Amino acid sequence: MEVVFLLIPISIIIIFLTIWAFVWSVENDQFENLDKEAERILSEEDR
Amino acid sequence: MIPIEVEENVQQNSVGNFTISLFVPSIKCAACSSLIKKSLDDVPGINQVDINLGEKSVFLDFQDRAIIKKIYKILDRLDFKPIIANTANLDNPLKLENKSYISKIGVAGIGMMQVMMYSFSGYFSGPDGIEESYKILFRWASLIMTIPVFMYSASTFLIGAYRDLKNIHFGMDVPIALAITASFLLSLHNTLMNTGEVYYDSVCMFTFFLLIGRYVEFLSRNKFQKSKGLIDNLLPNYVRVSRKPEEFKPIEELNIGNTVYLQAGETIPCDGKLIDGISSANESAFTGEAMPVVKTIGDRVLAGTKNLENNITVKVTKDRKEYLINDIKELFNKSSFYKPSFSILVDKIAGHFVAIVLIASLASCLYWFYKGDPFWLSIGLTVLVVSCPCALSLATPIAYTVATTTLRKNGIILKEGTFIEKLAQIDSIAFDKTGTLTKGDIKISKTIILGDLSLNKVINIAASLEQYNDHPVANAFGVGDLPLSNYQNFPGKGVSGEIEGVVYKLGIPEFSFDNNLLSPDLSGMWVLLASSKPLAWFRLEDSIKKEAFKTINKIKDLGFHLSLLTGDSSDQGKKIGDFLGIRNTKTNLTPEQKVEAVLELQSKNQNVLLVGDGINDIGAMGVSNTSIAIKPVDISVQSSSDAILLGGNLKSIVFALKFSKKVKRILTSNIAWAVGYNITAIPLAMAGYILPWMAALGMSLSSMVVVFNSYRLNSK
Repeated sequence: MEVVFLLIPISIIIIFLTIWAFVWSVENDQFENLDKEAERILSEEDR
Repeated sequence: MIPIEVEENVQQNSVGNFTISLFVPSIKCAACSSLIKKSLDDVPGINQVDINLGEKSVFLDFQDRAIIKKIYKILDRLDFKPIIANTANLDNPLKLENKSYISKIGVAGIGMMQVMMYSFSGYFSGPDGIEESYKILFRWASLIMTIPVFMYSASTFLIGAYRDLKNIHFGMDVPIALAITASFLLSLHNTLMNTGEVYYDSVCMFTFFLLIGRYVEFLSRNKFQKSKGLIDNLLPNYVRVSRKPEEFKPIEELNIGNTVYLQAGETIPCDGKLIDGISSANESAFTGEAMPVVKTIGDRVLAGTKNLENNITVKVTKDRKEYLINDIKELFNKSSFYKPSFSILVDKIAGHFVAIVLIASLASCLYWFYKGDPFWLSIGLTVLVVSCPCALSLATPIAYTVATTTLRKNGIILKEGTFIEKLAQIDSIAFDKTGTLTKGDIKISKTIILGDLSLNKVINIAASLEQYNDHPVANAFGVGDLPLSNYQNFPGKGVSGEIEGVVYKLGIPEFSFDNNLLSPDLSGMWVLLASSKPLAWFRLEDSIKKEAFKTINKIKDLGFHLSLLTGDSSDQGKKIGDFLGIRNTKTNLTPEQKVEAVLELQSKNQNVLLVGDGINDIGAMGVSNTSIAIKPVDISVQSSSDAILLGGNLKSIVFALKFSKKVKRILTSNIAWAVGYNITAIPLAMAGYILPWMAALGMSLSSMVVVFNSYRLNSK
């Protein structure tokens, strides 16, 4: 079980990366218009 | 330093006072708004401070333009920095706030999941617990995960509480921040010292669930902010001032007398007169009426409506500040600032409530500590969180904001916030006739010449006499071109004035000549034009609105007592009353007698709604319990009534009558829910039956229930 002493710190690093990625995506307008992607398949233009 | 746009947006109103609407993004709860109100109320020279929690806006009425600087300073010092409430500036702070909410919720959510995972190892480890070294590892891991939640996600509550405490004020953020901070610090202490219990999971869960509650609240506010913004964005930025060659200029440079050219489908940028072309306009933004209105040369067109069919030319007749659309915006603003008496009481209670909660929480901590319960702190903190009176303070403002918007969609603009409250209590409705039940589109059906003037001459004199009159009768005579002086209007009687050196009177025979002159017959309404001798009789006719019959019957079915009060002297009023089935019809009333008629109804213990449209109804509007003005042309009628029916469609009255009852029902259920929640939750929490996560979830859910319940008013 000693391996948790390694795994927990690694998990914390991963979590902080996740948080950073999440905040980055919010700051870069990824959450601006959540319906856009769902509606996009209905539009004719290929964009 | 006060930003220039704040100073520029100070407006002077009709009585010479100055007003401004400020958007204050940092208003969070009822406590914030009462703090602002308290601080500004004491400033000399400020007449009125209205704070709308739902829209985070502050409406101010003050005596001197210079006071705005002081106001700005005070708000800034309290950490409530104001922004001018127009959309350009409005959209951005809202967007930023939205982003910050999402980030904070995300961080709190990720942190919560992680910390729960570490804590569970302790919870499920069985009676012997886990090995000491692992316990320490999980505690430290939890601490690291909780730090961003506490420092970043919870900052909404911490900053809010700091602001409250700095101003010695107990707002809703105080107990929340206290609960979060206390559990964090105690856990930190226990981790460093390696003793006792840790509550990192509670910190994260409180923050996460409470933030979700705040966010839902924010979204609902945002939505109505946008529906208001829609009005602001109706007008185009550029207008066509020449067709060949095509030339545009910014709408700000449009002045009275300018000519504007419009193509089909374009939005009319100004209040004006149509001078060339024939088309139709969609005035649904104003009236809620979807059917286009036909516009021909000479017709009034309104800024913000859409020109539908053909190219037209419009002459600007009003200054930008006087466009009807601004009035509507203003009325809408004002009505959403309104707080029903109950809501004010609730805000007051909420203030004391926090103090009571702090005491209750402390008491339960002490009680359970002496009882030897290891969870004494968590019980105390649960009491703090579960009892937040958010739902109670939200109950009325949210319901009223939604209701105001729904009424506006149906063509009814509230002037007086109490209107919905009062309308729900109405049991008797008094209608004016002309322009209210009838179309007000009056035509001359017969003319009898008494003197030696020609037909054209008498009509021209009559038309010129009526040129400044807004009463529907005035339009029957068309346009006159004689210069008029010494004009006087006698509401309910007629008008007088001097044309080419002769004093003329036009109106009911008693007014314009004397009592003894009888009208030619009793069919229709006769008015007499006279100088020193009678000159001509005009018979005026008006037709009943097509929806009147149906509407009146529906109102009767709802059980209201109906009366018809008209100044009309002929048997026409009686006939219309009979046709519509209104038994209590009174004709030939002066404005004073209308007042008496309303008072008489009230003496029979009836709450009277007056529906009218003209100057002769103002008095009666004043004494009636509440009133609706139909398509008012005159500004004094507009300001005397409690609400305005812009489209003139009577069906909306039936809607409003039913709707007011629904608002009352929803309001009652909101308040019952909020009060019921706190009354049940607090004792349960004190008794230790509620776990911390349930408290956070329950508190957020109780606010959400109120918000979603209010949304039920958002129907057409």
